[in-house]
Amino acid sequence: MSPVHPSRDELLAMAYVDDQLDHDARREFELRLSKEEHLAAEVVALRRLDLIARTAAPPEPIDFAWKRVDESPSQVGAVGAGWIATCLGSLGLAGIAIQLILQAQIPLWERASIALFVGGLTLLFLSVAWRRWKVRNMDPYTSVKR
Amino acid sequence: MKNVYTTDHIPGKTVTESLGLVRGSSVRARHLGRDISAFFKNVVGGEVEEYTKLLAEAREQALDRMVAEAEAKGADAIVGVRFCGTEIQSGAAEMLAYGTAVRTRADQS
Repeated sequence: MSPVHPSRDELLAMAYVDDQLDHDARREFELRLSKEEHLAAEVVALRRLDLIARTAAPPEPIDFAWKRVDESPSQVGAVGAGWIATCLGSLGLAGIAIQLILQAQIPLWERASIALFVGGLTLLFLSVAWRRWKVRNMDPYTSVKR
Repeated sequence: MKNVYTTDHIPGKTVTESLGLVRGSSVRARHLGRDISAFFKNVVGGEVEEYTKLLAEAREQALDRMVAEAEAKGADAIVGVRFCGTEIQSGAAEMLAYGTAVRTRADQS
């Protein structure tokens, strides 16, 4: 099996994460980071490894107990069924709320205000969720356990 | 830079230059699903792992930001490091790490 040699960019990223670049090289690398997505992803991956190594601690006995309980069929079933029921119930409640508003004897402008308010909040939530979804892989700190 | 100390002095080294205060802060939250699980754990007691993890994430991010600021100043160590938490938002972990960035040289034995 032939050895795998890291590319120049990978070596640069390692040196950057380890703070081994001099001032000018660091600035130049940071400039590239802002433009080259693959390089930023490489730095995030290295930071994630560094974090895992830095925060690694011996497992505690309770970790194994949690794992056993969490993986037991009764727990998996109860949690899954609980979430499904909660989500379906939430959708049902939202439907009831919409129905009540539609049936209520209120002026059109009040209905429009409610629709605008709810629609606006939904759009804001979706924009925040979309932003989070787009950067989810660039956050190395999600790998920290405790 | 791996030289982060809570003490003001570093054994075997002498501080040759102080570069001033460096700090890093982080505010993080988990998602609603984890908050709901944490709420029920709050009812029955025991460790709330969701928030243990949340606090650890915020702590490490704040630490890294402080170190990054020190590196940008050309420091090779940070002394007198402290952590503190604040209360901005319920269900979120807010951590501030701060210390003094310094340059050091090894003591001659």
